[in-house]
Amino acid sequence: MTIAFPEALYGSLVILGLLVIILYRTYKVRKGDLSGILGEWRVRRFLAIYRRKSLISGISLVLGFLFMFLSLAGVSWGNVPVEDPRSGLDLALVLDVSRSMDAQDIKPSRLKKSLDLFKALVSNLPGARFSFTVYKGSAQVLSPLTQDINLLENLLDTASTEMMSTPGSHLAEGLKKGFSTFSFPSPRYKILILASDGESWEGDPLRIAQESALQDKKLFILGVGSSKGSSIPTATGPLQEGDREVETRLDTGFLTTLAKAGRGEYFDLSEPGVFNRIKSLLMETSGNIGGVKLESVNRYRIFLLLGLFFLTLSMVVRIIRWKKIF
Amino acid sequence: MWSFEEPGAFLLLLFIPLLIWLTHFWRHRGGLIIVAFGIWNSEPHPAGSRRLTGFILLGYSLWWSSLVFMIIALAGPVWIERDKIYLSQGIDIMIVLDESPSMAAQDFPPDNRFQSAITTVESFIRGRENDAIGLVTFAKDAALQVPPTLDYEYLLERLKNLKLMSLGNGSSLGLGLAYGVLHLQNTQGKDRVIIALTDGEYNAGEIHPETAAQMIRSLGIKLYIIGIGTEGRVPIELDLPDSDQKLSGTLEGGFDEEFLKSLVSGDRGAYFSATSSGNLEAVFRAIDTRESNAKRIKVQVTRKSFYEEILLLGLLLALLSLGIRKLILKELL
Repeated sequence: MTIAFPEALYGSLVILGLLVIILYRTYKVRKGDLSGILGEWRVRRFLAIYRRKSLISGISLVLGFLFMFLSLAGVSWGNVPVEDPRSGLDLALVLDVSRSMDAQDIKPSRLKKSLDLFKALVSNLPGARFSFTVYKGSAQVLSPLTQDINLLENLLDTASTEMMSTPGSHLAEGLKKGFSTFSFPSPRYKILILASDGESWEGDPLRIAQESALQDKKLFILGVGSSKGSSIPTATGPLQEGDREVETRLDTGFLTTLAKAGRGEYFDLSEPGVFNRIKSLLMETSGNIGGVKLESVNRYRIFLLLGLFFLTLSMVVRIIRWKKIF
Repeated sequence: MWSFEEPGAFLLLLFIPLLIWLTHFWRHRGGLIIVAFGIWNSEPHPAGSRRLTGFILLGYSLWWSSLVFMIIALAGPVWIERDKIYLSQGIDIMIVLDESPSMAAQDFPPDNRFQSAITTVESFIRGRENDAIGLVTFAKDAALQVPPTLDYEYLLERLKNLKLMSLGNGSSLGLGLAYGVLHLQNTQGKDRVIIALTDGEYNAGEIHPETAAQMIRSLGIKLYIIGIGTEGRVPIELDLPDSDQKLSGTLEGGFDEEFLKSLVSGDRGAYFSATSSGNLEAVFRAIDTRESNAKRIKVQVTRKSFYEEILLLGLLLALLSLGIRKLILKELL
């Protein structure tokens, strides 16, 4: 079972909690009011029905909203086979060129290690098309999707943390620009491969990954660095902020969540055999020629229908007169 | 195009008028208490006040609207797009464009040679489908501007931003052609084509055009050369790059047509001469026709569901309605 927008469920907890409090408070206050308004001779019969009606109507209302939020969250289970004419690969390579990528907690450096893997992909996946995007405080597409290996190798040879002047680490913009290189229709599998240490200062990369996944654009992430952390070397020694040495760490948790949001995979670049794992996964993906794919089924209609039923029930309970009294 | 995955869900809308009647107009409805105003010591309940009536109207309008939106969401609104997907590989085309200062000559009214070339190349690109197109420019030096790609928007953006003389003063046709070959040699198109536009003779660069032409022939790449410009004296006006200076004067037109013809081998390309913008367009149309190829196309239907947006709107309206009815109108149930 998968949930496309778990945020809807988190939001529902807050809203439903508030709703229960409001309904309970309303019941308590109105019960007191009714005792005052109704005469002694009929208050007991009224209150008995009022209690039951409030309970059923309140539960129906809460269930109605709960099912609506479940519907909004896009809960899916089960798969259906759908025709998949795709074959071949379009790969968008996106590289973090922020200063933290100069850290040497994996040798020779985070940046060089990422570039080595990108180069290996470019030269070992014949027939694939590649685009290349770099980001720091902003992002730039250096090459659109192409099979021009000469250009790609040249760009990968010259990439450095000095190539962009805007400071920062705008991962969301990098993803946005990288995914934009898939702008024209193509019968190929579209996968964005991001190499980053996980620093993300601006934007909402999770949202971009989720939206792209809905358009069949997957996100593979290469986590570069170590959780132990490292200083950032510069020409004049380690990078300082005031008197303190700046330390940078690989944010594995965030990158794993991001890869999951993009319906892709997370790879730790410091582990041995990463290239072979990625390559075999890509070959496996692109090998599906003119076949079918299994697509998970969004069951939002079931929840929406249940939601509508309970919301209507909450109204019907109110408007039907019980025992000809209330 | 808008469509609905389950239009049958709209039948549920028929229940809304019934619910409205039961809630607001049915004489025997429950959930109401009839009391005499007299039991209050103070002013009667201001049931008739405009403010209260407004809130009642607003609260229930929001509620019924929210149900309508929820039913629309249940019907599964989708935006359907149909895209042409090419199942066969197209050809790879590299455009090699002269950006030497003489391209500022104004014998292609209303533009100069360079602008006219850009406009024509742009319409050529827009007319192609499924062919990877790249762009190399040359003057004293040469540079790859865009590798062969199907991302025409990216290519057109780069084409639009080209400036005369950004690669110096000179005309290294050989270097431009060599760059074109270099960036076509690993592509996997059905066929590979270089289209070179130049208005001058070879006068700069480390590679002679003949050497580049031999490379082109040996790799089986087609070469079309378009010589652009008119004979005689031509007015010229040029903005110098990276400065506000403007140069103007006259240019002695003409170039060695025989030399350009000699670069093209008989069956793998052609030489064309263009002396006006209309002429240049005709040349590109001729190349376009020559380089047409059979395509295998599939129409891919993509559906973007909009139920989330509509359901979210319905939910917000329902919550707002509930807030008004419970907190402002202080409803019993």
